[in-house]
Amino acid sequence: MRLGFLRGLVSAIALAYVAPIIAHHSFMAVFDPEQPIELTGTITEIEWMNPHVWFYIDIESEGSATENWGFEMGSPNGLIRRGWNHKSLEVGQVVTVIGVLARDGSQRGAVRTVTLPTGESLFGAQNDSR
Amino acid sequence: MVSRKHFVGVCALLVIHNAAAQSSSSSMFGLVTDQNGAPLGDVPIRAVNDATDTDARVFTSTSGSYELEGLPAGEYVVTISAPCCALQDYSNDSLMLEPNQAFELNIQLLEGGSLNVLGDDPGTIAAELRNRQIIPDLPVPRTEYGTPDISGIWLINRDPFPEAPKALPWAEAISEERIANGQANHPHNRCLPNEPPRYGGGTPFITKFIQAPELVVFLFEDVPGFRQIFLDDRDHPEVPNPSWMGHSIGRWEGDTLVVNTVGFTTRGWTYTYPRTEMMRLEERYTRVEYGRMDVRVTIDDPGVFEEPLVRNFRFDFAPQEKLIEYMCENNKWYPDDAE
Repeated sequence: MRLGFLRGLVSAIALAYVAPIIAHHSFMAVFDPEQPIELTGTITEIEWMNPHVWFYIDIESEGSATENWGFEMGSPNGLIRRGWNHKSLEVGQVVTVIGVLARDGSQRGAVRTVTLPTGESLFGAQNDSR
Repeated sequence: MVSRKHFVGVCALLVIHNAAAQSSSSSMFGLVTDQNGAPLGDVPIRAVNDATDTDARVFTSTSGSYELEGLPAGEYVVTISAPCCALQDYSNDSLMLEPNQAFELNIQLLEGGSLNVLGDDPGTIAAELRNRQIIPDLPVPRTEYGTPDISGIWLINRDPFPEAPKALPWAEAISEERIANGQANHPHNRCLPNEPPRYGGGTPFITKFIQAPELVVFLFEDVPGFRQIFLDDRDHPEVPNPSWMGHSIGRWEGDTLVVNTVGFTTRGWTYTYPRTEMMRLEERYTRVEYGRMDVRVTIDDPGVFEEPLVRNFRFDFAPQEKLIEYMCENNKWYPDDAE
């Protein structure tokens, strides 16, 4: 408590004023956060390369043709530092991907989470680092 | 060796140049959270009142709380330059503080341009790396030839309190257009270097400094991979070849390495601003303690900025990390790489 002077307490819940995105990172230029997506499918290909890791999954749905979707993550360098490696995902694995869609309408997205059927999440921070 | 986790206190840096004429009895306090309500620690908050020359700065605690005390009454501009890029910046242009008022300002930061894509966010990964370093409780190491030794792996962090650039109208217009376009054509999106001093070594990547008496080499993971600073008293070439790194010469002024660079290609971006051939760069590197280096960068481009742009960086020593190869070989969004 503050003592010794009169205090007028004004409470203001200030929602963020939407300032221009000064930050350089361009995922928002390519992907749309207003279009979230969640898909489950089988890994068909993994591109463990810079500048960004990509993986592809086949999605089967009854009555329609198999669709192949591509998903983008960050650089392998950052993922390696978190303790992951190029064998963390394997072709043939089933994964659930939560992400956001590409703005150009293609079957591509940017990845927020990757989860195995066991519930294990991949590629996130593995240590209590904050 | 002593393990020392990076500690952020809630001590505020308060600068009042005209205190004698003002009563500094007001304050600002609150909580900073993300858009899901989770508290955000180590977030820089700045409150500026030009009329009283007040420039108050603080970082949020690990629980997301902050307090700025001893403020004169008046109208404040409150800003957060969030650690790039998981969070958007915040700006409140006109917050009125009355005399003797404690103003509760809770701030919710929206998701930033990296969209929290796995493994991508520079600030998130920088925090993870920083917090796992084991920093010896030793003084700044020195070389056998009498200077500080700045060799080793460093995390290049961004200036938490960046001054707004004062750009000429033509340059400001280009910057605004680039921002409106989501910086889609930023050179780095085409596997080209960022602005100094990051170039290719800013987090989530790392930089390795190798120091010799007549040469300092920066090894960046990201393009272009290396940079040389010559300490052998040579001059700049009369006609420097325009390049992304420019031509750098340096000297030790006491315990500060001062580097001057000219000869930048105009194809680079200075943040979101263009460049002219007049651009000159000065960097001042001071290892203030074993685990930390303060770096003051002055970008002087009179064809773009009304006055030199000054930024203050803090580099964190990261001895636990190692360089990992980076080849920009799978850039799917800009495969043509044509400018």
